[in-house]
Amino acid sequence: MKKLLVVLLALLMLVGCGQGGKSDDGETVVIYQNENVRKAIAYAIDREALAKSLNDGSVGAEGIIPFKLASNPETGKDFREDQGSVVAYDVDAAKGYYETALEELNKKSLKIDLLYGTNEGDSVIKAAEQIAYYLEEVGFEVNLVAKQKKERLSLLTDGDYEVCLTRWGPDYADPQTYMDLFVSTNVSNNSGRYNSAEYDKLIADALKTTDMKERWQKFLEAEKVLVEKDNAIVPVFQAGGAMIIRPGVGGIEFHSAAVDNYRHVFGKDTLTLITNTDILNLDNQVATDGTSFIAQTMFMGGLTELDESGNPVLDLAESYDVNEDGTVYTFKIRDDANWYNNKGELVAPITAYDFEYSWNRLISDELASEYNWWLDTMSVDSWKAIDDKTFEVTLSTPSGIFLGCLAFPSVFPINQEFAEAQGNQYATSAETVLNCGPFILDSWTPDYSYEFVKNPNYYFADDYTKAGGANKVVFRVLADTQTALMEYEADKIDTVILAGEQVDANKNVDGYVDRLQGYLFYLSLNINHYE
Amino acid sequence: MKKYILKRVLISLATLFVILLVLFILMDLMPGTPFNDEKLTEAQKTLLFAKYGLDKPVLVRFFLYAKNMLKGDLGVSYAINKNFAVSEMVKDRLGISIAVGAMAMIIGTICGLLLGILAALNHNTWIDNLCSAISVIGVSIPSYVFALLLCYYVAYRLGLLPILYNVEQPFISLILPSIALSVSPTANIARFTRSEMIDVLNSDYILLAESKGIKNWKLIISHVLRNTLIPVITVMGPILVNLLTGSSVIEKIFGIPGIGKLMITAIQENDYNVTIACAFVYSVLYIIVMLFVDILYGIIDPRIRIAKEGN
Repeated sequence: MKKLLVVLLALLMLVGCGQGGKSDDGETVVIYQNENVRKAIAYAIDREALAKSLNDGSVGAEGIIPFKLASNPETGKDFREDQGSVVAYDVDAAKGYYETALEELNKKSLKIDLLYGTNEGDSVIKAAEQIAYYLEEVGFEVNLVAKQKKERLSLLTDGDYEVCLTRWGPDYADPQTYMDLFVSTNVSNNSGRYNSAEYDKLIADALKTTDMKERWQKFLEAEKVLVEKDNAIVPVFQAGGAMIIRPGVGGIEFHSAAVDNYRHVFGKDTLTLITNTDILNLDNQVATDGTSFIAQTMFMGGLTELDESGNPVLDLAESYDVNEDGTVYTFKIRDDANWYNNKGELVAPITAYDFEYSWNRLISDELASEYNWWLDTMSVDSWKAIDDKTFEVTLSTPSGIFLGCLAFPSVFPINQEFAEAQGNQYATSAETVLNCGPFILDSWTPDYSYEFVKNPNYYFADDYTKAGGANKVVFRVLADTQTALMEYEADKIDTVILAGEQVDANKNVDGYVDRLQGYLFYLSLNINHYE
Repeated sequence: MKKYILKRVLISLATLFVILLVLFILMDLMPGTPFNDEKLTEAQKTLLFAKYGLDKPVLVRFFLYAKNMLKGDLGVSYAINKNFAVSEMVKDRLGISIAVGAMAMIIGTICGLLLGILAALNHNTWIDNLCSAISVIGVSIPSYVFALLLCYYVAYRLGLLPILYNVEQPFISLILPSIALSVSPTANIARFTRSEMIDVLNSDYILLAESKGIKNWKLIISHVLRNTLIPVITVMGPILVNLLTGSSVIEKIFGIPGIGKLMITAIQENDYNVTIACAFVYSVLYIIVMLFVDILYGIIDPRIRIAKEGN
């Protein structure tokens, strides 16, 4: 026994030693304050070639704002189209900046620790290796630092890194979702502690103004300052994703900046779709992952939903009024909007109080929701139920993203009586959550499948049926893409998510879809955050 | 015998307690927390730490956890299925993993013993060489290769068996994964049985038994096999535990909601309670199987028990 304890103690000490201590010596970190070091990195990377080699529909980044994220409030043009590219690939220039940096820093060579995640998808690993190659071409010595995601993020938050390949997924279709990350006051996301009065002012002005055109202009300018002028971060690529959807099956609406919409899926009486991750949580205010959100938009609904092109249209609200200065919205909730249990039985009508309760719950410390900032983002100041079917929301400033953000699951209604009766068990199974969407969540077997049946009482159920809508939609959890392909070819499932070499091999298959996701991968440079 | 078993059980319980403590401390030393997420602000993290009591010192948390554990409460998940009871998450998945593992063990044991015995009885003939070749292939090729081959030929091309696990036909749909999983235990058991049996066949007491005129089949069953099985049982213990606690690769390929995958995800997500529960279940199974092997030893070969009791 004594021997065992000694061994254990030794083991613990070993673990302790491995974790502690900063690997950087301070001096190496300071180099990212040098403008030419940052420029050398920014100009060294051939983003087009890198994205192409990932072979999954990814595209090279042209700035920190991804393609198809947000459109000009006046012209409807994509942000990227309006701005053009603010990054450049030029090896000779990069070498020049590198030489200048060496002189300025009085060094013979520069070494970069490049941190990246090992369990964040194959494309991240490939991309990190390629970036290392490009940087070495210019003259840097690169040391790849591979960590699990949680550890990588912890190093990033603590400032214990030099350069990190990281990503951001947009929360809503507006440049603000990215721009907010790099203001000097954002200590949670601005890991490199980029600190520019010019940038801060542009963002502050953009958020203050009620003139949507001016706001757009400020964002365009801000991106130029952040990326083109200061090279404070280095955008690399925007993630793609390839899949096969059986010909004849349709109605799956992909949104790069919002939750994909499966509410109008059609083509078969029973559809069997593949998901590579399971629902993590049925509670719409506890969930944080895309799979859960997609499921929630199917068995639940909000005041609005997003149409095919990502614009908000009314859902559980049948109409709304807005005051003259655009700060007070009054929603009328549908008379035929009801709560159903998982057997499809009517439980109660949906009222404005369900929204009031849900929104109060979202910001409560007791729930500690990871999306407790969502209402702030929408500029929501206060909310109240006027009567059963009237819900009033007051904004601090008019917001161009308000209506679209209402389609996000965190602000869907919750039936207080039901939720409180379930206590700790609320939303842990199909039986302990209520349905208010176009589908009823029939069952959920964790890590295996979840099944929806059509809600025949939903307001668009008749139109949906006429359009060839499905009576049953089964999501089968299957992470292995090879068996998924076999099952697809054997006609047992209707979609496959492709990975790696399968993408190329199936490019010409009928039903192949290349979709661009909203995730933008960039290099975060540790400018001022050495601790 | 009773004293022997009691002593073994007590040692096992003490070991489990130490394992739990070490697991708890190791979790605390792991880099990152369950709440390292790019979307979480510092204020939210503080809120979450307070909500789940992670702001308390590790020893306080340990004793609280141990106390709750006695009541069957393994805490809640922090990351995978946030706020879900870990005991439920583990229970559902463990059953399926045990079913696949047990099926694989049965297949592996039968095939392994048969191959091993066949090879040993035909020592240095082509049968021996064939059996050895099969064992070498089984040990050296990973199970997921067999899994994919079985999927492609047996299920996809011939359409004999389903690929994916199906809750409505658990037995039929678990045949392919069990076979895939049984390849490595088959090979290990075959190799071990063969070499042990050759040793036994060459020993003096078998020569004596043979010279006494004991019939061939009776000799093999009551003299050779019995002595061969003792070391074989020792290796079967750990093999069984490995099979029962699930293979994340096999689970991934056949879409089985098992505990192997859960454990891997839990480690990656720093989901403390789920990781501890999975690792602890693994330890409990291991210790139970080892205890069982110890007791079985005592039954098969009383000399071992007497020797240990003498200690």
